[in-house]
Amino acid sequence: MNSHVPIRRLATGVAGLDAILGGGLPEFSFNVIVGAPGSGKTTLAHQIMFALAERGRTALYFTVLGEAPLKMLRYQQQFSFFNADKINDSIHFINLSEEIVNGDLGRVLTRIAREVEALSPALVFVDSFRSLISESQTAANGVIGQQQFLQHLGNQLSGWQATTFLVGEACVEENPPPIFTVADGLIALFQSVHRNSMVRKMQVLKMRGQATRPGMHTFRISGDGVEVYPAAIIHDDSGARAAPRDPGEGGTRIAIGVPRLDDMLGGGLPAGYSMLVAGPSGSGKTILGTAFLVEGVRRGEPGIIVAFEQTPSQSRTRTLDDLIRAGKIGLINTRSLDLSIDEIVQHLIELIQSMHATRVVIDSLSGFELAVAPTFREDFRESLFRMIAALSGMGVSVLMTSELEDRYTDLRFSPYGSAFLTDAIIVQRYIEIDSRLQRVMAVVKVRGSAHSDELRRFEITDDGICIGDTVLDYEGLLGGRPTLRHSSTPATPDKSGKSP
Amino acid sequence: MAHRQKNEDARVIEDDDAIGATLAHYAGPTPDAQAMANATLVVWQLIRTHLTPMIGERGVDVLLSRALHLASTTYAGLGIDGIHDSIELQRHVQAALAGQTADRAGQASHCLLTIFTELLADLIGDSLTARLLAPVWATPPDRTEESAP
Repeated sequence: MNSHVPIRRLATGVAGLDAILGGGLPEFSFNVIVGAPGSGKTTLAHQIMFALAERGRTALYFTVLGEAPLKMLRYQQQFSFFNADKINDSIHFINLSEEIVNGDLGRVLTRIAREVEALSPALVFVDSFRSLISESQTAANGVIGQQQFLQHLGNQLSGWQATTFLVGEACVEENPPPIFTVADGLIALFQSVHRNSMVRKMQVLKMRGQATRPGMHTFRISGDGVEVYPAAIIHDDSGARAAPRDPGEGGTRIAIGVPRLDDMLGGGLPAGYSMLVAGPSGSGKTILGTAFLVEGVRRGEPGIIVAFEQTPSQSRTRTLDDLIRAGKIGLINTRSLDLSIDEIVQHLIELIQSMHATRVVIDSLSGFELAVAPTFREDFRESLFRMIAALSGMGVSVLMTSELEDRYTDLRFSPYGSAFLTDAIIVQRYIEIDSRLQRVMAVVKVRGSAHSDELRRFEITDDGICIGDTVLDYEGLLGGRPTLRHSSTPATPDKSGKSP
Repeated sequence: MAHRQKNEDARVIEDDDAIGATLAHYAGPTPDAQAMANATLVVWQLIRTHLTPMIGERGVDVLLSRALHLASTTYAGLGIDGIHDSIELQRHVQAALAGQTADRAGQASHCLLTIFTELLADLIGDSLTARLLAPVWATPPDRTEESAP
């Protein structure tokens, strides 16, 4: 005999919510949705209700004074999930304003119980409990106290064979009401405004019987309702193709698409590695990223570019544009200034899965940081780590570009301190020789692999990046003031990219 | 308020003359002004029965008051003059209609219910209004029996 009670989990119909709930909403659970006015509580409740309610699984939605029912129906209709055909069929609204008008909370409880007994709904919503309490405060003859009322309501909601929701305003951190203890599930919604960006976040503080995804998760409310972007987690075993972490053990390597660069990397970039290309403005980072994607297409490996430039069409090459139009390279381009990294990761993962992409270029981290809402910037490095880990866990090779201020007093590879997060690093620099600006490139790091330690000159031609030979005759190049070591002719690459 | 065109009304109440047919039904065989006033209250109670659970008594009364105010521009007797109590409003409507000629009482009642329906549709949309008020306009069973050969 199986002594365990199987718990059915209901799909909420809210994108991303089931993932952070730990697989869906437990059937017959009593849940509390809390948040400040305008945080999206009622919309979330409606979206769940319209997704779950159907013939044979009816929903009762009790409204109190918080939001005028007419207005609520008017505004909720703007969402695509609203289906008028379900009203008075599988969804029934009950207004409790007459019961609450005298502050008699006992009457409210009686009415709720009566309606539930009459309809035997599978889903019950009470919106909102803050309104219930504040209205009763105005009446001196409340039969039962507010906390007692909430406790009774919580017990009633728990006792019915229904999945129930209490929607309301309450402070999660300070002096949480006892109802939080009774509840099986507690979902808190937050919204914060920083400068001129507004960010919505959701936290599942509790969901009995299942492991929820901890922490804050960003969400948006659009015409389709609430969409949650679960914070990327690092899977030890996602079932996806694992990246070979040690190229020395026979892992595959992928071609970058720039002649001689593969040799510098020790035979190409190990598949599933993340690589940072750091350099000053105009040094050729985007062109290197483009070559990486074009080479992938040539080899039948679809790729994706995540761009954050204000004028993306100008910064992209025609070849890349053609491949994007042909659907061989995916494009995620955003100029929004209130993104969360998790939102980008969510879109990226969906695109990777739909295109079976194996190469991703993020151009650039500088643009990415600007696009992220200010409130997330302090966590940028941590989020970046999660993103790289999530992509790496999928076996995707990632090339990220990073704007590097040309300083000659110290040797820096990334302004984000993100160099240690990546498996490989290529650095590009300008040097001055004979009153000419020349470009040099070096492989700084390829984790677990031998690689070139040479500083090579390179040029950008119509054919792309042409890597020349090492700069043999000079020293002190990274300091920006190379000095001639011998009295021989300065080593200047010819137009073919080859040194004399 | 500019009244909706007839074809728009049709979407809300499905049958263009559902209001008139329902009023005629409840007014009975001698539809004088008193009968029309009583029929209006019957329909009004039906509306209240179907809408109150969803939008509350206050919500219904607010809509009725607004409808009376708008209808009073054409039928001055329907003006509510600061009446807010639900029972008082109904008495006022009944008295105002009963004091008219039979034809004018019928027209005023029709006008009032049409405006009310339009107001609701403006707030919650045509399809939801039609869905919520459909039981009000439904042909009562005894009427079907009457029309049967």
